[in-house]
Amino acid sequence: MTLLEVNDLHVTYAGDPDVEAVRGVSFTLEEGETLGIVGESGCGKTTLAQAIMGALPDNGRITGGEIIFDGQDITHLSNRERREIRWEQMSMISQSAMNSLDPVYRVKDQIKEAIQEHRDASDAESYERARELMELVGLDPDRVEDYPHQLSGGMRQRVIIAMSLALDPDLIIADEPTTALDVIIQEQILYRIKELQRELGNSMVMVTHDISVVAETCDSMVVMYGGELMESGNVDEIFNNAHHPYTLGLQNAFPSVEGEKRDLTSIPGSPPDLSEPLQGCPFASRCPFAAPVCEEEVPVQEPVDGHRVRCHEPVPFEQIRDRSGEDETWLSQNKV
Amino acid sequence: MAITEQSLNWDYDGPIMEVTGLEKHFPQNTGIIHQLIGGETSHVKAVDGVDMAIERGKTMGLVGESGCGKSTLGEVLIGLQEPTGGSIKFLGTELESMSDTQRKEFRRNVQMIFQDPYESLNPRFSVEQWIREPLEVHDIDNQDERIYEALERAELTPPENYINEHPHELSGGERQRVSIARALVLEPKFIVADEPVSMLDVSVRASILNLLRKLVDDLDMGALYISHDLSLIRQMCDRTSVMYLGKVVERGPTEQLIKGPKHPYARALLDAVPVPNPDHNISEPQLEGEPPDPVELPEGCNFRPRCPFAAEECFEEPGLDAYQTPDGEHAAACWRVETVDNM
Repeated sequence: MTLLEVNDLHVTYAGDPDVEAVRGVSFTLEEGETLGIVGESGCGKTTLAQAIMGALPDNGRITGGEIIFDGQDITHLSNRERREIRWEQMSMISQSAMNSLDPVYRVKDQIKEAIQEHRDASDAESYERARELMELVGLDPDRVEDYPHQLSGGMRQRVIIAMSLALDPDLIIADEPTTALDVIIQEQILYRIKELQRELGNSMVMVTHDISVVAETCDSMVVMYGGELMESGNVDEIFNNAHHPYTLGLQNAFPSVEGEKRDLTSIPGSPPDLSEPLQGCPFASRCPFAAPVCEEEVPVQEPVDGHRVRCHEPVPFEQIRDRSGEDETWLSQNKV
Repeated sequence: MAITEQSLNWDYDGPIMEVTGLEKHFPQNTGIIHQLIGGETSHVKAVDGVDMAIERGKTMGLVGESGCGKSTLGEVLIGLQEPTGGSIKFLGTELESMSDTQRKEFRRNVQMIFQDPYESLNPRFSVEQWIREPLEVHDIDNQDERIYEALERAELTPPENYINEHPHELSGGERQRVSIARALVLEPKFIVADEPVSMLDVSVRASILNLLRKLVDDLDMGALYISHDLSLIRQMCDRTSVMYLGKVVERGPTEQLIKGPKHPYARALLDAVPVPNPDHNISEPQLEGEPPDPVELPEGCNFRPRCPFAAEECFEEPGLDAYQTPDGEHAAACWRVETVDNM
C-alpha cells in the first residue's frame, strides 16, 4: 500500500528575490519501504523533506502540488493539525539533530517530554519507555541519566533516533543522519536503523548526498538537481541501468573501495540559480550531451516500469552511459 | 638556490619527510588545585610512537576514526605543534637541530590545505590578498607573478577573473582551489591535506583530488593526505598508514592494503565504508562501540578491548614487525594476522 504520495510539489522561499527550491517533484513511497532522495547541496532535497514533515522555515511555503499521507491530503493542514501528525505518525532525524539536544536536561527528561507532548503517559511509564528506546538503539539504558555532553556524537545521534521512534511513527524522515560521523559509527547507526525498520515495519525517507548510503539502505531512489527530479526508480535499476547524464555523472564521480580502482570524473560548472525561472532542463548548462531542445523545453517522460527519466535523450542513452565514464566527456564542456 | 652552510640539503634524495618514534602527548589535569592536592598528571597520547617516511612525488594516506591522532600528526609534521618526543627529519635534517635559516626554509616549504574552505578563507580578503599574505610573511619578491602562477596551477583560469573575487563570490570547489593556490604560492616541497574534499559536493571532489595528485607529481612534492574515508584515500595515495589511538597499526601500498587489509582494525574500517553497489546491503558491523580515550590505554595491544579476534598473546604489545610481507612493504601490528586470514 502507498503510504506517501508527493505530486508535482513546489516549494518557494520568500525573499528578495524569491527562491523556488523545489520545482515539481513527484514520487510515491510504499509501506515498509525506504526511499532515498539523493543530490548535491542546493538541489532541494532538504527542503523537500521539510515540506513533507511540515517543518519548513518561516519563509518557506508550498506553492503547488500535493502531499498525500496515509490517504489524507496534508498539503495545507494548519500548523496545529500538522503537529498532531508530526512525531506520532511521522518523525524526523535531521543532520544537526545531535547538536539540538538541550544541554541542561538529562536524556530521560528529553525523551519523556517528547512522549508526554503527544501521549497521556505517566512519568513512570515514560521513563520505562525511555529506557526501552535506549536499548532499542543499542545504548546502555542507564545512560538516560546522562546529560548530552556526557555522550559522544554517535551516542547523541542514537538518542535522536530513539526520540524519533518514541511514538512508533509510520514514517521516519532521515536527513543526512550520519553525515557528521566517522565510517565505523555511520555503519553501526545505519545498520541499527535498518534492523529497527525490519522489526517495526515503518517506512523511511533517507535524504543524503551519498549514493553509496542509498545503495546499501534504500529500496527506491529519487535523484534531484536544481529543485527537480532527474531520475527515479528502484535502486537496483538506477544503479545498473541509469539513463540520465546527471545520475551517471554522480555515479562516475563516486569513489569505491570495491572492485578495480578507476579514475573518477567530475562535473564542471555550478548548479542553476533557483531565484530565476528555468526554461528547459536545469542540468542543460552542465550537461555535455545537451542539445538546443534541452535549453528550451522541460523534458517530460512517462515512467517505464517505475523508472522515470527526465531527459530529452539528445544522444541515445547507451552512448550517454558509455561516454559519461570518461573525464574528457565532461571536461569538453567548460571548467569549474 | 645556492647551497650555503646553513641551507637545507636540497639535493637530499632520501625521504623528504621522515619521522621516527614521534610522540605528541598532551598533559591533562594540570589545574593548580589538582596539583596542590598532589594529583598525578595524566597524558592524552594523541601521537604515540609513529614511524613514517614520505618520498618526493609520493602521497601517503593517513586513515583512522576521529580522535585517532591523525590530524595532530599532520599538525606536528608541518610545525604547527611541537612534538613531545621522537624525531622529525626534513630533507634529512633533524628539525630540532636546524639553524634559524634552515627553520625558516622549513616553514616555507611545508604547507597545509585545510578541510573547510568556507572557514579557512578570511571573508574580508580578496583572492589576491589571501594568496599574497604568505608571500609578505616570508618576504618574497616577484609577488604578482607568483600569485598568477599559483592561480594557474590551481586551475583558476584565467587568473584575472578570480583575483578580485571575495570568498562569498566563489563556489566551494573554487574556494578549495584558492586554499590550494595559497599553499602552493610558496612552492613548498611538502604538503599536508587534511580532509580537503569532505565539505565539497561529490561532483567537484574528483577534480580537486585529480588536481592535488597532478601537483604532487608536477612539483615533485611529498604529501600526507588525511581522511577517515578509504575510498578517497584510494584515489589519492601511493601508500597508506592506518592509525588507531595514536599508533600506526598497518601500513602498505594502498591497493594492496585495500584488497587485503591485515590488521583487524583496518579490516573493520574497510568493511564500514559503504559502496555504491545495491547488491551490497549494509552488513552487521564488525566493531561495537567507539575507541576509548587515549589517556588510559589498555595493556598490550591498544585495539584488544574492541578486537573480535583478541587472544592471550594480545596482552603483549605488537609492533609493526609483528606481521610483514617478505618484501617488508606491507606491515601490520597484529600477532594474529595469519590466524584471522584462515578464518
